[in-house]
Amino acid sequence: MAKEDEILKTFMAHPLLREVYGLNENSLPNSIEEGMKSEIPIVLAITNIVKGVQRKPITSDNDLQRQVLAILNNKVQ
Amino acid sequence: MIIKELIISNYQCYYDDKKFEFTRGSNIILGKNGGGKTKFYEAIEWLFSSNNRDIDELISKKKLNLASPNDPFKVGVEITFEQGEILNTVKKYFTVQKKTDKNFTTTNVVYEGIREYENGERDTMDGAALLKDIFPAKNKLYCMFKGESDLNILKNNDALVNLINLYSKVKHFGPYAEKGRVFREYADKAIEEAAKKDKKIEKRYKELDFEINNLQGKLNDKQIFLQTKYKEKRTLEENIQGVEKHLDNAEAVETIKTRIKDIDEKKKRLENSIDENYTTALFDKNWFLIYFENIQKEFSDKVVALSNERRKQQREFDREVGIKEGEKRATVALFRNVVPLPNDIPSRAIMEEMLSDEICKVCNREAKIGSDPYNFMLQRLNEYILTQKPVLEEEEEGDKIELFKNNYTSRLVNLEAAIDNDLIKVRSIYQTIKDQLEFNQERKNEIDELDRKKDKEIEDLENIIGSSELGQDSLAHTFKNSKGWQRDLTAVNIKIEEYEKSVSEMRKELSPKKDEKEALDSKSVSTYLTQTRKILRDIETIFEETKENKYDEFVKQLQKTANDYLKKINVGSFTGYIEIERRVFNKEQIVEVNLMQDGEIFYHPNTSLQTSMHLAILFAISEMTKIEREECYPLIFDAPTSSFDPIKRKHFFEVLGDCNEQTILLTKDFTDRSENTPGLLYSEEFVNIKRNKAILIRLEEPFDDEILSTINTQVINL
Repeated sequence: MAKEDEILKTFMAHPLLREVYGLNENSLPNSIEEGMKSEIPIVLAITNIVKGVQRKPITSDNDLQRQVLAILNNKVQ
Repeated sequence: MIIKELIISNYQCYYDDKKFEFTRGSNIILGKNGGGKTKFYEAIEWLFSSNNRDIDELISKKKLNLASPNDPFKVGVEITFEQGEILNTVKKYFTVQKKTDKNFTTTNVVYEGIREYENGERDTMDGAALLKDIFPAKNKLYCMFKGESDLNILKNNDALVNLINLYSKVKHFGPYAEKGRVFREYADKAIEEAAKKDKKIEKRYKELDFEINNLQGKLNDKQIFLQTKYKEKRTLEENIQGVEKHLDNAEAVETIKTRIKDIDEKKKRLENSIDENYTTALFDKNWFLIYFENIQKEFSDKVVALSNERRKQQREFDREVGIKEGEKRATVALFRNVVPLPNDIPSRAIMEEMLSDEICKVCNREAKIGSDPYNFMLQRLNEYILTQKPVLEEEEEGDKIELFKNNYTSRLVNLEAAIDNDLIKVRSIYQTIKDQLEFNQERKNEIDELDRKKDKEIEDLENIIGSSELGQDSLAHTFKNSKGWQRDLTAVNIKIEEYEKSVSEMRKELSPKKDEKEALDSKSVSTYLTQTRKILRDIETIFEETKENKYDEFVKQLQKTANDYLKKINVGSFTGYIEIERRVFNKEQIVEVNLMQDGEIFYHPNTSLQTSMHLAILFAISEMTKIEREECYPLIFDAPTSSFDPIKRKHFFEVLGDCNEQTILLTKDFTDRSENTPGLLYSEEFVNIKRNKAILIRLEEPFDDEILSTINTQVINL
């Protein structure tokens, strides 16, 4: 398993996603590719952050922030 | 990665080229003190360091001595790392050109690097850059250990984080927590700015903002104070435990010192109470009168005798005077009414004639000697003669005539009586002197007894000090410090309780204010903004907690593995257990490694136990990180087990070979040759020591240990 997928999976294993967002194993991605397809704002945001940090060229903090906020604003609305 | 080969050339005690070939697993280099172990370690340190000063000191004196002028030679270290199928060789050296016996020149230090591939192709590279690439400088802290003190790799707070960042996958989670925080702060700010635009809540919002910031600031300050107090408490507990083993001795010393002081004071009082100024007392207190009573007796007898005599004489005198008076009165009675004849009738001559003739020629009667008529005539003659004598004034006064004109005798009698009265005092002098002498002697006896007690106390004191690791002054300080630390600890505990209460109250106070602010946010700001912030807050929580969990897992595993190693090294002996505590404060990772005993920190284990604890942690780190890291680095130890006994040493070497891909260990152990096995170059104990490779280094004989130019270390593969 790629390091980025491993990291994403670790984050997805956090109980908060189950307890607060009611997500189950099926709705949680196993890889960046799967995560990028998610419709769940928090999952998509986390996947984007992991991708931005792990994949080269590394996305700058400002770009990543804009990217994440755009996703969230869009999905939440 | 392992070190495959090391060549030390003309470097200090290593004359010419000395090659060390190493293998995977444990490589043990045996060498007596002064044989070249430390120089071996320093040669590797020099290779890794960028310090190129004082290189003249590095030149082998033997080489310098034997080299011909104008025949240059190299001084340096060459190391070959095996990385999979690739061999990386780095040389660091300088060239020496001898001019005369006392003069030589050196070139600059140069690095050379060669990378040799599996197919035999070789690339020449910048040696310094190659070294940096294959063995980063910060690795040295976790790979090279000189002596036992270097082994405590977790002594600094940042050591664990550095280790994790160097070797563990946990490091990958670090940046996310930071990003999560930045994103959430951005969302907070966006909401705050939007909320402030709502005029209806503006005032209350600002108030809340101010109150929350103010309270949060105070809370942060209090938490910092609290952390400081926790740290203070630990230091105090450590200090107290550190002196605990000396405390009994320190208290005993203090008690004895107090007793000695009491003895000295008592002795001083006794000495002051002794008055032996007898000469002064002889006069000031009239002690010289001690035998005066005999003199007084003699004096008294004489006075009494004198007084008796005087009275006797007085009585005689008084009687005589009385008789005369009587006679006068009788004569007057005899011739009553008759006028007596004058005294001179008959005349003196007639009277003398009649007496001579024994005839009274007045009445013409015989007057024989002794007869009344004769005596009558004689009396008349005497009376006449007496009347013819000159008469003294006093006699003339009649009654005023006294036998003793002055009353000296009475005065003597009075004096004698007065002295006699004072004899009581004189008689008490003997007792006074006796009492004084006895008193002084008793005090002297008491002083002797105190001296004996003091000698005994001093002996006890010396015994305690002799059996203690600390001297008398240190024990005294220990006692004082300990008392002070105990007081400080009580004060710190009170402060901690106070701060904890404050922190708890502040949090309680802060919570409803934050809730109110959040409620205002929800009222005045678009839902999507608050939703976004909520998600970003949750992302921050996920990132932060995941990172923390990963660190905690690592620490937990490290603790477990370390304890496994601790048991392996200390088979059959008491060890306690290692506890690695990690906490985050003010974004700073704080790591505390403690040896625990019965649930309490064992602050001052002996060196051997301490070393085994550090080695256990080191081996655990090595084992854990070799699973996770991409590269494995050799561990190099110089004399890490000086405090170990043979049993512990054996267990240590059993562990050593398995804990890392490669270890190189220098030790003076096992160098005593056995008499039973003369063929062996090492002790019999080493036969049973687990190792993958053993090398002996020793000085080539003959040599003079005071002449460096005779020194050359030999390298013998065992």
